Amino acid sequence: MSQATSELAVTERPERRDWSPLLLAAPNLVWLLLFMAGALVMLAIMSLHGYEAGGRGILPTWELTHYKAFLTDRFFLDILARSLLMSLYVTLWCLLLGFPFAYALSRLRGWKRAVLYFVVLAPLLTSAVVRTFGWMILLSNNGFINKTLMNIGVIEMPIPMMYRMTGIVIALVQVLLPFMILALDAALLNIDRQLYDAARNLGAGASRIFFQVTLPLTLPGIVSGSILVFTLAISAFVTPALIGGPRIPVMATLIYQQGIALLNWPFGGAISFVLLAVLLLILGLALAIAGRATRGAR
Amino acid sequence: MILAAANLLIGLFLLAPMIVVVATAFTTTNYPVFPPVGFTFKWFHQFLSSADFTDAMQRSAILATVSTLLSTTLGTLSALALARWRGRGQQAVTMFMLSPILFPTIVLGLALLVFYSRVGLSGTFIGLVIAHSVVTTPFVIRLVLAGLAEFDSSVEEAARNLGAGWWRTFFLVTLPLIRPGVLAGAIFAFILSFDELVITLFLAGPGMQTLPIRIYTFVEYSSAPTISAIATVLIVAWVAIGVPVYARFLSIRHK
Amino acid sequence: MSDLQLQGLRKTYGANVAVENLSLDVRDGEMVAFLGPSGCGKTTTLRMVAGFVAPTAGTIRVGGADITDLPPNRRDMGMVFQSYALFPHMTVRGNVAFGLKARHVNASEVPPRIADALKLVGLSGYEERYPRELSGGQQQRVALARVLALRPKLLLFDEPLSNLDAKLRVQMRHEIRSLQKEVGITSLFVTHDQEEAMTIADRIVVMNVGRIEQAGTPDEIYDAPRTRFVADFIGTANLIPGRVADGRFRSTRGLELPLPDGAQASADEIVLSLRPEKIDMVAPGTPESVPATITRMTKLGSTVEYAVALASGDALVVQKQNRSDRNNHEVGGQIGLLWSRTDARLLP
Repeated sequence: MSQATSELAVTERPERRDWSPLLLAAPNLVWLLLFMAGALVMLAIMSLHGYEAGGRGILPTWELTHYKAFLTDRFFLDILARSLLMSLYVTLWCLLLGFPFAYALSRLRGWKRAVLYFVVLAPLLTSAVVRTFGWMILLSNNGFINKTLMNIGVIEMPIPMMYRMTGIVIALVQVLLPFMILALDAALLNIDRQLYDAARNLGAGASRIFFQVTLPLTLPGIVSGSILVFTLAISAFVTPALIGGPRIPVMATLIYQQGIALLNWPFGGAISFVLLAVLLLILGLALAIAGRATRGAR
Repeated sequence: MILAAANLLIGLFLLAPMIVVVATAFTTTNYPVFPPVGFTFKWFHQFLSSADFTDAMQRSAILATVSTLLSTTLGTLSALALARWRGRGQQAVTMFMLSPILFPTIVLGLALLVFYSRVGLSGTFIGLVIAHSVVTTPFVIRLVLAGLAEFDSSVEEAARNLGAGWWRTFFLVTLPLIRPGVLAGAIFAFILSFDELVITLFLAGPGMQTLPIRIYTFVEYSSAPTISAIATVLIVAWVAIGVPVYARFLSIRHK
Repeated sequence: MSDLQLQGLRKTYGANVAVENLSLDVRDGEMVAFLGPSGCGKTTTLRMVAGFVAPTAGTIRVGGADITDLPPNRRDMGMVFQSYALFPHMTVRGNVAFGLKARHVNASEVPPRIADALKLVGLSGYEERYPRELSGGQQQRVALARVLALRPKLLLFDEPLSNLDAKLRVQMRHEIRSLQKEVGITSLFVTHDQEEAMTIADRIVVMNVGRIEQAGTPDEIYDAPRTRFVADFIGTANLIPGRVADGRFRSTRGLELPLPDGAQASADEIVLSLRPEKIDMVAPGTPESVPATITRMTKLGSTVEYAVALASGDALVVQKQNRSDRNNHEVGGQIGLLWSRTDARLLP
């Protein structure tokens, strides 16, 4: 080792931190802490107050009655179960329909890909109300779907879909399918093309390649897409409200009914936190299972 | 190919309600039928001469504009922060800032309702702007971050090396280069805010009925091709604005 | 005066030491190349001089003034980046003008400075082009013009030629060299390519794991390496481990060789270093020659490489020019090896 100059005693300098990221993020952080976290905290506190319907309204007491009321009443638990089941169906159908479309999308380039992308993007740019309105027209007993099916002789009586879970699921799948397709497309694009060539070179046929190469490597996309779709489905309001109507309540419509229509903020808050808790649980489970499954794919 | 046939059906499924809505806007019957009967523009006239709807549309536009300005600013600053953030905390802050996307809007709506009643923002315009910005900012962040992924930060270093301070570097170098992402984010935020229903339903005072609320309350109990006409105008507007911006933005990314 | 003094520079990232106690004096107008394998700390050192990395300890002085705490935009240096870092949304003129405006140069002076800078790099007339319309080599020159227009005290080059193809690299090397001599600005040049360093630099600083292994002219580095690492990193070297005792060198395998000139009288663990092209192959039995057998012959175009084995089992590489009058050797042939005592070195 050689030094080309005189040696001087050197002292350590203090480590200067770069504060710019924090400064840049501060406005939004404060904003969110106040208006999201803060609001939620208030709702949580509210859910612990008592409520007297038709009487004094919100009471300054501390009680768990609302949580108990929800978790012990068959009626409310049914609503929760219905919401969970509905979201599960929607997620599965989105996976089923989304995968082939995303697969085709990921393999196309140029204008063909642009056209398919447009088909996926356009629904996202239209509001849920508009899309649900369109479904209301299509799904009614003498709507297009039923009329066509009857005309070609597949059925004799119209299948009731409006004001039924069937209709809700169909409409929700259309509303949420773009999210699943985009998530799957991103994951599929991430797969190194050379893996397919290598598999073919080693003698694998199309189906083996699909099940042993494509599917496992798309797993992260499947997980993230499913989480997104499930979450959006279980908190969906417009579509179940318009297509299901008052006779098929789901969690979101229940919260609206209690919180707005009946002004029972404490109970509305309690239902909200039950929903959040269930969501977190399912999210945690999904991520845990996904973590174990994707470990092999890496 | 079975795959192609299946995808054709899926594609139709994706576009179905929009096709229906646009088609029924022209029907001569007094309620929406698909396929439509006849052809007329009268429902568009109805819509444009109904003060109820046009006023609501104006309110939605103003609300969306103000909240977009807010969310674009907050979102761009946040995306820049997250892109530069080295060290722990980056992941946590990113998740926190993006969380409103996954968060049930219905819960957020009720929470803000309660919160606003305590701080005196109930039924105010500002309250709505704040709520809309909370919901739309994460999308701005996502889109600007995506644009930043292509950003070669050595241009910023070059600018500083050449003598530029923080402001000059930001305005003359960084901002022009992230503009496509910021624009895409702003447009998406505008569309989302304009179409936002759930939170607005919770928080809007009597004088703040936005277009989505009007449409929703109408559709709850009745059905008329006027709604189809309004919806058609919206679809055409968003698709006309949204698709070119996204095409340009996405083509920059997916080379 | 823009001489550069680095004193005791040190950079650690947690437990990882990137640069350790680095001190160096660079004379005014000198071009110094930092050479070493990836991870040796050369880029970190350059970025500390530029101000993008804050040293954990040590000082940086330019012209006597301590600039260690100055932010990068106040250091009056010009840096040429590996990716050129041209502003894609500005024309060539805009790029070159940027630094001038940022440093508040008088508005009337800006156009002539731009014109001069572009003339220096041979791109006059390209003012209105955008970076994406230019070739790699042209972009490189705009990056150069951009910093030359500022007439900075120091020029910093961060592996600027790595993205160019081989022929262009060689050409640009010479151009940068002559440009630097012409403008006479003190320059630091980081590279991992030894040929580049040898061509372009007045002095080479060879670095390894955060420390300076040796700093010297290209001749000194090549012909008088001071450590095993330097001998091995620059060019090829035959390295024979052994010890020195009683005025003789004995390899670990028992081979006795003449001591190089100026070597110390005794040493326990030492390496004899000998460049392949400095060894002559003569008839076996020639006085003072070391007997050896040719084990392999590889023709490499302009040179021929012979692998030879000595009686002790030590193996050497000899390099000869590919000339027909010298090519009468065969694998298995016996030869004698001869070299000048001044050409061999003992290294720790």
